[in-house]
Order: sequence, then structure tokens, then C-alpha cells
Amino acid sequence: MNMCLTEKEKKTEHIKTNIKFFSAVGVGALIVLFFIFPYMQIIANTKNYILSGFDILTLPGVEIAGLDKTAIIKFSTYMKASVLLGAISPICGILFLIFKKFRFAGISFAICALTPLMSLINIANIKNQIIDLNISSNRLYIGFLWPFFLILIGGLICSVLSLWLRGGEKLAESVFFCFACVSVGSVLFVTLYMALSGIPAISEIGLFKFLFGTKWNPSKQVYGILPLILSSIFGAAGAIIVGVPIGILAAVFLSEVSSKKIASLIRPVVELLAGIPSVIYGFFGMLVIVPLIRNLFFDLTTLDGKPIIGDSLLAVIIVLAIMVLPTIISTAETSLRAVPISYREASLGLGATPTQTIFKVTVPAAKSGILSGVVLGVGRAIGETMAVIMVAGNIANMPELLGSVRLLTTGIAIDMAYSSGLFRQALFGIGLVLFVFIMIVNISFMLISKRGVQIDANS
Amino acid sequence: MGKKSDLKSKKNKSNDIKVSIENLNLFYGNFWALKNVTLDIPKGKVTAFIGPSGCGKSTCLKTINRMNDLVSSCRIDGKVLIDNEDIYDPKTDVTLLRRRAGMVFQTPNPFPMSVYDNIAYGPRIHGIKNKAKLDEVVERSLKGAAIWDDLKDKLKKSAFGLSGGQQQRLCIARALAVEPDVILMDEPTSALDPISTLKIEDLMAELRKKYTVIIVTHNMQQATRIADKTAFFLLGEVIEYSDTASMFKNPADPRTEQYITGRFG
Repeated sequence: MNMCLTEKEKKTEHIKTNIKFFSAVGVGALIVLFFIFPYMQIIANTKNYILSGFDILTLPGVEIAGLDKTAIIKFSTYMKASVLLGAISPICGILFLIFKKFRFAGISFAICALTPLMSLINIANIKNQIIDLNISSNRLYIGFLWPFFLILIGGLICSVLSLWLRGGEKLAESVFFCFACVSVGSVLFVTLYMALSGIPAISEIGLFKFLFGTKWNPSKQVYGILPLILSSIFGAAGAIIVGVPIGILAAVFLSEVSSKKIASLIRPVVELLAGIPSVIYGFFGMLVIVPLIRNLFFDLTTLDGKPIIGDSLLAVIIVLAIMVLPTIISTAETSLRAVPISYREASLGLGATPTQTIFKVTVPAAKSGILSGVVLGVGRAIGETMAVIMVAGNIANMPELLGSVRLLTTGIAIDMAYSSGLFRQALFGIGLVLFVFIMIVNISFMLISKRGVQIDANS
Repeated sequence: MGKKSDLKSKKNKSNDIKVSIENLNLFYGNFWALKNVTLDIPKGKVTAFIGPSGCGKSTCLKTINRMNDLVSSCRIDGKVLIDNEDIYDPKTDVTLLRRRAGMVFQTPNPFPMSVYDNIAYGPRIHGIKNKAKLDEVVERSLKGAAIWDDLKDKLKKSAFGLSGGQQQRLCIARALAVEPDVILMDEPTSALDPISTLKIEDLMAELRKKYTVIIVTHNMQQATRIADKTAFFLLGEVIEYSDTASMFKNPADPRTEQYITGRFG
């Protein structure tokens, strides 16, 4: 009886497996077929151009008529590669399915599902080329047609089906894995995007000229971002120099000195500070700090003789210092609290005063945690845009404490709306530089906090 | 009975008494942790506090260098004298007191620094900056804790790399570095293996020659091995306090007898 049932179950199981198998192969084959179907649509100046994946791969480009000239819009190798990958990966997936390598089939189909997103990245490039033909962007439409979406969705479905063939529990595992991959994938996606969109401008302008040029004047095609880089670095460094001592001492107060009652009153306030939108900080800076600087230093001028208007590096530093405080305070406090009581007892037991204990034992023991808070603060300070726009003055001078400055972030945010051509590409280049900065900061954060964990494990 | 004779002889022998606890009552909030404790602890001897968990022996130890000040709900009434000075007098300098009465804790608690910096920590906070002087203090302290030979090549290494027993002797050396008169040890071997325990016990016999040692222990064999005098605590009271040998041979109180023969605790 029991045997019979399992026999029956086996049969239905077998049928189910077959259904999954053939539907995966079928959808996969469909995706391959889509390769020759209309994939992308460009409407420029009311003329309609429709391109299939095959076209994109084989044609050198598409001829588009502008107002006064006609040019061939080229497809980058990257675009071609992503379209080709979109055709090859499902073929591989089907082959893997046939040879019962379900995991690899799943991965192949997943890659296939990603290829439309990869080609999406390249839209900006095509758009730039068309805008250069003097076609305004409101007369331009670049869109994708149904094969695009079917590759996206079909790839995902095939991926799930082929992973399912390994059994339900394995599928669940794979799904969790996929969601973990989403975050990693997003980082890779953004990195790739930044690199692809930033590198053309940098190579056109020249890396050295771009990074170390001291003049930023887009209207004269001069793109040197050294003033922006230095302003960003000085702004962040100043914020750290002002913010770190305040933050650490506040954290020491919260964890070591104050009574529990007072700490429980102050801590939520600090957390609230982190929750205030940055534009509010900008508002505060604009209405309080900028006028304050203007009035305090009204009889001074900048190095090139301009009056002090208040919008300045100093204002940026003050606003950023306030903004990094919550990050520094909460990480420092957490790591101070994690210092074992026994260190403090040992120090006090040797006749150290509470203050000596704090600065000679507790703070040094928590230093890796404190340092990672500082690094996080640096990251926040470099990346901050909104509040800074409102107080920086946004003139690309070499940084000077009381003079107006333009930072990497504010440069992008202000000009992105109207720039075009090389100017626009240069903004992507700035974005890439900013991205590299933030990556360096974050990687050093990871290294520091890893070391912190090791120390804790030993104690 | 024992108490009375001790009190009587106090005037004659006041030079031999290092720490004197008189009618000490201690409360944690509403909890009466020490009840009328009176003890005279002799100079240059090892005195052990024994008793079941929660009997107040560690609390009593901590009153001697005022480590219980760190507990905010703690209230004290009575006197603790070191060399006939009341350490709970408002004029007492607590940091100076803690230099005179060094403490070794239950679990080894070296600082996250090098061996050298651990030992030099105390002298440094008390103002010694001279490198040669510090070197000398470090060497003397490590020798005093009988661990110089083990560690002389590892002075720059992190103290966390040492074994538990070495860490505990390092902590003893760290306490010796500030030149205390009294060394308070709160179950110093409870986290250690038997061999490390033995080494620390040998060390205590050595320390007795220069310092007054007071040790809290859970281990009655340890008390018989190392202590000259033993106080038995029960529920916050000192039930019996006398020479170790006589207490373990002829306990005066039936509760002491029950405890040391292992009937409770």
C-alpha cells in the first residue's frame, strides 16, 4: 500500500519535473528567437527607427537624420556584447538543461535576464550622440520593445525553473542566494555604470588635465577638477577636525560619565540629529551660519580681492561637522560600551582617576570602533550634496576658508540638468572620481572594522 | 570568643595589624550585604576569606580599596582602617588608597596593550616618565610576580597572546608595579587550570614576605595551603576568624564545621 503510494507519487513527481524541464527549454528557445525580433525603438525628430538584437550586433550603427546633418549613431562594443550575451546565454542554458547541469543552467538564464539591464546602461551614450545632432531631448524618444521585457522576465522564469529542477529545498536556497546577489549586483551594476559613463570624458580631456587642471570653466571647454577635488577633501577634513573631538567627547560623556537618566535623554536627541533631512541642515546653514560668517568677517576680502559673502568653505565645514556628529557619536558610544568593565576596574584599581581611565584605557580600547565611526563620517561628509549646495557658493575657486567653493557633489548636482556633450560627460567623470573616493573610504572602513572584531575576539 | 581576644591584643600589637575593619555594615540598595563585620588583618600574612557564594566575602574585600564606590546603590556604615587611617574619611584620597591596596581580579584582565605597557601603566599614570626608571619598574614587577623569565622576550607583544595563567601573573605584576602595601585578590585562580593555580599559590607564599595579602577563595584546600588566617563568611556575617590551621582542625562554630566538611555551600 505504502509502496504503491510512493510509486504513484514518483510518477506525478516525474511528470512535474518534465513540465518544468520542457517549459524552461521552451521559454529559453523563445528568448533565443527574440534575438531577431524588434528590440529597441528610437524616435528622433518624428522619424521612427526600429532595431532588432541582430541589427545592433551586426550593423556598425544606425543612420539618423538630424536637423542639418545626418550621422551614423554607433553602438558601443559594450552594447553589442550585452545583446550577444542575451542570445548566447539562453543557448548555453538550454544545453546545460539537456546535460542535467541545472545549477549552471539557472546561472546562464539569470545572466540572460540581466543583459537587457546591461544594454539599458548604454542608453545615455546613444542619447548623447543623438543630442549632438542638434535634436533636442524632448523630440527624442528611446524605448525598448516587448522582446526586451520578455528576455528580462523569461530569463528569470527559466532561471527559477531550472533551479527548481534540483528540488524545492534547493530552489529556496537559490532564491535566498539570488536576493543576496541583488545587493552585490547593484554595487557591481553601479560601478560598471560609473566606469562606463565616466571614462569617455576623462580619456577625451586627458586624465592628468582632468584631475590636476586648476580651472573649471565649461563654457570655454576647460575641465580641470582639482579645485573641486581639493574643496571636497578640505571640506570633509575640516568637518572631521571639528566634528571628531566633539563627537568623541560627547560619546565619552554618554557612555562613561553621565547618569543613565541623562544619557537616555540625550541619546534620542543625537539619533534625531541623524534623521534630519540634509536640506534642513542646508537651510540652517544658509540662514544662520552664512550670515554669521558674512557679518563676522565683513572687513576682510578673499585672496583675489572679492568681498566675503558668507557662502564659503568655512560654512561647508561647519554644516558638515554638525552632520557627521550623529554617526561619530553613536558608533563611538557603542564601541565604548563594548569595552569590558574589567578594564576600567583594573585601571581604577591601580589608582588611576576616572579621567585617566577614560583617556588611557577605555578610549584606546575602543579606538578601532571610534575610528570606523570617523571613517563613516568622512564618507558622509564627502558624499553630502544638498546641504552643501546651499552654503558653498558653488564657484569653482581653489579652496580658501572664507571663499566660495564648488565641491565634487555640488558640481554634478547643479549642472546635470542643462549640460550636454562633453560637459555632461565631464560631470560623469566627476561622478567617477567621487565614486572612487567613496569606495576608498568604505574599503578602509571595512578593513578597520574587521581589525576591531579581531581585537574583541581576543579579549 | 576569638574576636574578643583579638580586640584585647589590638593595642599591644597595633603595629602588626595592617587592615582593621570595625563594625562594617554595607547595603546594596535594600540588601544588607555585610552585617557588623569586624576583622583585624595582620601585616605580612596571607588572610583568606572563605564562604559560600553570595556570602559577602568579595564585597568585604572590595571595601578595603573602595572598589565598591563604583556601585552607585552601595551604602556603607562603619570603619575600615589601613595603618590606623580611616579610608572612608571624606579627606581620603581614593586614588592614593588604591595605589596602597592593589587588586587582582577573578578573571585575568590585562589591558589591550603590550606586556610592557600593561606593567608601566600604573607608574605612568602616577607620573613616572623616565624610560630607564620604567624599565626598572617593569623588570622588578615581573620578577616580583615570578614571570620575568617567561616574558622578558615578549615585552612588546600583546598581553592577549599570553596563556590565562600568565595573564593572571601579569595582572599581579601590574598591581605590584605601583608598590602597594596590601594586595587584594578576588578568587584569582578560579578561571585557571590546576598548574597555573599552583604557580599563583607559590607566588602568594613569596608575596607574603613583602606584602599583606588578602585573598577571597572558593576553594578550601587553597585556603589551607596558602593562608595564615582564615575568615569564614556566611550571609554577610563573619562566623569565625582565626588561624587557618586551628579553624580547619577545630572549628569553633558548628556552621563552620558544616561548611568545611562540605555539607553545604
